[in-house]
This record gives sequence, structure tokens and C-alpha cells, in this order.
Amino acid sequence: MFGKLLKYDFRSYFKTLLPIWGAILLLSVINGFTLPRLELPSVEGSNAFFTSVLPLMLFVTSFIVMAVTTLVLIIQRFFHGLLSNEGYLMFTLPVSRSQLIGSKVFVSVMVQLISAAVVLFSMLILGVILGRDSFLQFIPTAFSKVFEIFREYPNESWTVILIGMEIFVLALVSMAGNALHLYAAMALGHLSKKQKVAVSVLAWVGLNTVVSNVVIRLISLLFGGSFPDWLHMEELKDALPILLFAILASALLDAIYWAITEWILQRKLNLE
Amino acid sequence: MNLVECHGLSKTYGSIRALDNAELALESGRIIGLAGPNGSGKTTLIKILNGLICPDSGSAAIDGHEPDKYTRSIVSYLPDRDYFADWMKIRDMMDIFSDFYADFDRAKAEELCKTLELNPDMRIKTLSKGTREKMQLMLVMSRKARLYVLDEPLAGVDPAAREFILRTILTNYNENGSVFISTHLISDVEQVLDEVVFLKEGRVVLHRNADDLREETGRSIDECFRDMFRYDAWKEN
Amino acid sequence: MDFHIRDARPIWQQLSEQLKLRIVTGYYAPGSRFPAVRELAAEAGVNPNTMQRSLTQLESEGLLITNRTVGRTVTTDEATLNAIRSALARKETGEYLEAMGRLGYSRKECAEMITEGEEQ
Repeated sequence: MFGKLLKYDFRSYFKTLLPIWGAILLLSVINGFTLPRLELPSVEGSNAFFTSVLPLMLFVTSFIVMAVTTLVLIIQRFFHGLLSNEGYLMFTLPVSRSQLIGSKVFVSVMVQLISAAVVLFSMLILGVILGRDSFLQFIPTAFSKVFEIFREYPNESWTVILIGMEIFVLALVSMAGNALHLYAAMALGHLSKKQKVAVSVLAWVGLNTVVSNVVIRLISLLFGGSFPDWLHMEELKDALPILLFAILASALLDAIYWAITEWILQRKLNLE
Repeated sequence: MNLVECHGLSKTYGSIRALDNAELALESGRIIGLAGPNGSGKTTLIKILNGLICPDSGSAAIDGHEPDKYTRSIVSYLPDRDYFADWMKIRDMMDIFSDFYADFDRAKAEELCKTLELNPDMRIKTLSKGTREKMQLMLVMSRKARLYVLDEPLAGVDPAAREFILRTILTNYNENGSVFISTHLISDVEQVLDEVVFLKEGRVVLHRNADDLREETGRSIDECFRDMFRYDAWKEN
Repeated sequence: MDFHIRDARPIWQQLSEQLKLRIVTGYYAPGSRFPAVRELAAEAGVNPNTMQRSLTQLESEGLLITNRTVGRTVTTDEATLNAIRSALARKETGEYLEAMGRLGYSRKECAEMITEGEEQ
């Protein structure tokens, strides 16, 4: 049942995002060839514009479009997909409120991940095309370098890996938080009869300031009363507890936002 | 245990009492009509049964359960509005119903599409209002539900097709279940009703077997309805 | 023969009457299998429970016989069929005479009109 919800939500996002992702990758290929011409001083007039400047402009624009579209979709899939007419379908399906929320959160995170991956991939494509001569030699050299470092500094290497993992987990929890923060704000806005949008915006700001503060203070208690300090980091491994703190704080925040959203959808739903 | 039981159901919107201590009991195997003037609380009652609104007080139960995941699996709901994403095709909606509802009969749905002249490959965005209504009806009636809740199933349909729609409902519902039809087009519907419920200002003021009511009053259900509610219209003036 | 349902009287009664007429005029032959409730209800555009009630009425009057294996059949009992037929005929006559009475015709004048009509 949950899988079916995911399928439904993925379809709604992909319909709009796949073309944009495709366009970005395509533009990276194009820019791989057109960017070098940007520097040629002898090219003149409108020619240069079309062959180098325009592709670059489109390229940059496509990233902005992707970011904005992703944000708009996350909001819209909740605001229209649950709190408007489509809600008559979603809320009468034989699934629980938490499944509905969970599916939306999961898909939002996946979509953000894919967008990030598309950016990375796009840079990779650019790099490969621009530096295609040196690229093929680059990869094996890079790999052997990495293994060298690993052999020489084993402890530090593991720390780096752990830090990398913590960063990845933090990214996931934060991405979920992006969505849940919006959802909780919209759920609170739903409580208002006439000013749903205004209240949602206020709620978004309010949740940010109030709840975040509370959560940070709570988590610092776990860490002995004060929160870990970036500025006094001495060794690399000092970053580990700091990152852990951030993960726990974000996770707690996410849980609170989820609880707010679910409670409102369960007990205070008033579909018009 | 009755299929549907509502006790002391109340819901207020601001200063408007949409439901005021409503009491209702519906049995299985019946077709029940819900009639009442605009603002009498019909839609509120239906939304509560479907878990779309929470009552302020009182209880509503379907097969002994408060509206929850289980009741949603046995109730087939036809709302009074569109509820699908425009970009979908009719076939996509059939897939969704197939995915989520164990009691959805895909073969029957395909057959109903032919009867109602619906092409599964059409995009919902391009359909007329009447065709969308037919599509929603096709989806709802293709489920072997314990309770069908139809909110104004004839409203968007032209008068010539209304009889056809009623016949579709009559020949396709699960006889072990009940059909609960909310409508203001009583004269079109009364022929198929077992029982009729009148809702007035949020209260159930009448719940009788349709034929018994005809016998007692010597009038049609539609006429009974007008009799009961005409006085109020006059009172307001 | 279509069903005509006017909504002011109990529908099951109207159905009973119209089914009675169908039986007595031979639309459903004596001894033949009677259609199923659902089928009849769909044809008449009414609720199966309502149709069921009217069939029960016909059963109690002896016009329909329910057999566990065969289902419902129309009676073959001549006496019952004739009794119903003459009851219906009497009712028609009564209504006719009342209507003619309102127009100012006596029974004798009615009888004359009928024999006149027959000769033509």
C-alpha cells in the first residue's frame, strides 16, 4: 500500500522534473563544447552570443529553474495534493495519515537527492568534456593517490569516512526537514478558515525561530549543557560529535514537525 | 449491529450549527436516500462518515468502527466534486483504484466504461463535467463495498441521462451492502429508495420506509419533502 | 407492456397490480418461470426490495408459486386466475359506470351503447 503511494507521488513529481533534469544534462554536454569559445577574443558580434553566451545563460537558468521547481512541487504536492480537492481521494484511500505523510516526505527527499546528483553529474560531464584529454589519465592517478593516503594515515582516513557518512546522514535528515517544515507550516495554515496562505507563511517563520531554538537547547543538554563548538576544533575527529549533534537536532526537529502535521491531519482536518 | 450508527453528532462552523445532535442508524442491504434543503447538514454528515471532517461531539461508526483505515476500505465514496489530477487518463484512475482497493473489480469497471461510453485512454482534463461524473460513478460502483456513499450523483448529469445513471447504480451495487444517496433531486431518485431520511437544520427529523411513507401520507416522497420544508421557506420571508 | 410508476402510492402496490395484469392477460403464461427479482427490478427501475415486497404479495394471493428447486412460477390454477381476472374486470366496470354516471348516463343507456358499439 505504501509502495503504491510512493508510485503515485513519484509520478506526479517526475512528470515535471524529468524534462528539467534532462535539459540540465543536455545543456552540460552542450556547454562542454561551447564554453571554451567564451574566451576567444577574435569571435565577434551576435555569433559569439549564440554559440557561447546563450548556452551558458540557459545552463545557469536551468539550475535555478530546477531549484525553484523542486521547491514549488514540494509545496504544491502537499497544499493541492492533500489539502485541496485531491484530498478527497487521498484521505479516503485505505491508508493511514502517517503513510500519506511518509510517502510525501520520502519522495521529497528522493527528489532532492536526485537533483543534487544531477548537479554533480552535470559538473562531471562538463569536466569530462572540457578536460577530455587529461581526464582519462586523471582517474587512475586519483585512485592510487587515495589508496596511498589511506595506507599512510589509517586512523585519519577512517575519521574522514565517518565524517563523510555523518554528513550524508545529516543531508538526508535535513532534506526531510525541508519538506516537513513546509508541511507542518501548511498544516497549521489549514487550521485557519480564511487566511490559509498567510497563516502558513507565518507558521513557517515561527516554526523556524521558536521550535529550532527549543530543539537546539534540548539537544545541548545531551552534550553536557553547551553545544559543541566549531571554533575550538583541534583535531579532525572533533567534528564527529558536532555533526552528531546536528543530526540529532535535525532528527528531533523532523519528528516534531511530523507530529504536528499528523495530529492536525488526523484530528483537525476540515476539507472544503 | 447496524452498518452505520451516528449518535449525538454535532458540528459547528463559526456561528452555523451544521449538525445538531444528529441520530442515524442504517442497516445493510438497503438503498437509503438523504434529503434536506441546502445547509441542512447533508454534506457535513457525509464528510464525517468518510473521515474528512471531525465532529465536535458525538460519534459516527461504520461496521462498529470510527472512520479509519478499515472503514475506508469498505466504504466507496462518490464526492460532489472532482478529486483527481488533471493530467491523468481514465485508465490511470482505474489503476489507482485497482492498486488501493482490494474490492475493486477491474473487469466490471472495463464493462461499465463501455456501457457509459467512456474511453479509458482519454485525459481527464479534456472531459466534460457530465463525463467526469460518469467516470467517478464507474469507479465507485465497480467496488464491492459494504457502503456506497453517493453525494449528489445526479447533479451534473443531464435529465435524460439521470434514469440511466440510476439504473447503473441499481444494477451494480453489492446487494449485501447499502447505498446512501444524498440528493436534492428527490423525484428523480425516489423510485429506487428503500428508506428515506430527512435532515433539517442539522437534525434527523424523519427516517421511514419509502413505501410506508407514501401509504401514510398518500403523497410521493418528493411531495412529502416539499410539505415539510415549504413552511420554513415561508417562515423566513 | 411497460411499467408505469406514479410516485404518490406505495410503489410495491403499483407493481403488484401491474404484475397481476401481466399474469392475467397471459404476458406471463400459466406455469411458466417467473423472472428473477433483480431482473424485474431493473426493468421497472425500482429497488429490488420493493419488487420483492410486491412479489410476496402475489405469492400470498396464490398467483406465484415458489419452489425451492425451480424458483418462482406462475400458477396454473384456473380458479385463482379467473377469480383475479373477474375481480379486475369488476373494478374496471365499477370505474366505468361511475364515470358514465357522472356524465349522466343510466345503466340501461350504457348497455344500449355497448350493444350498439358491438354491432358496428
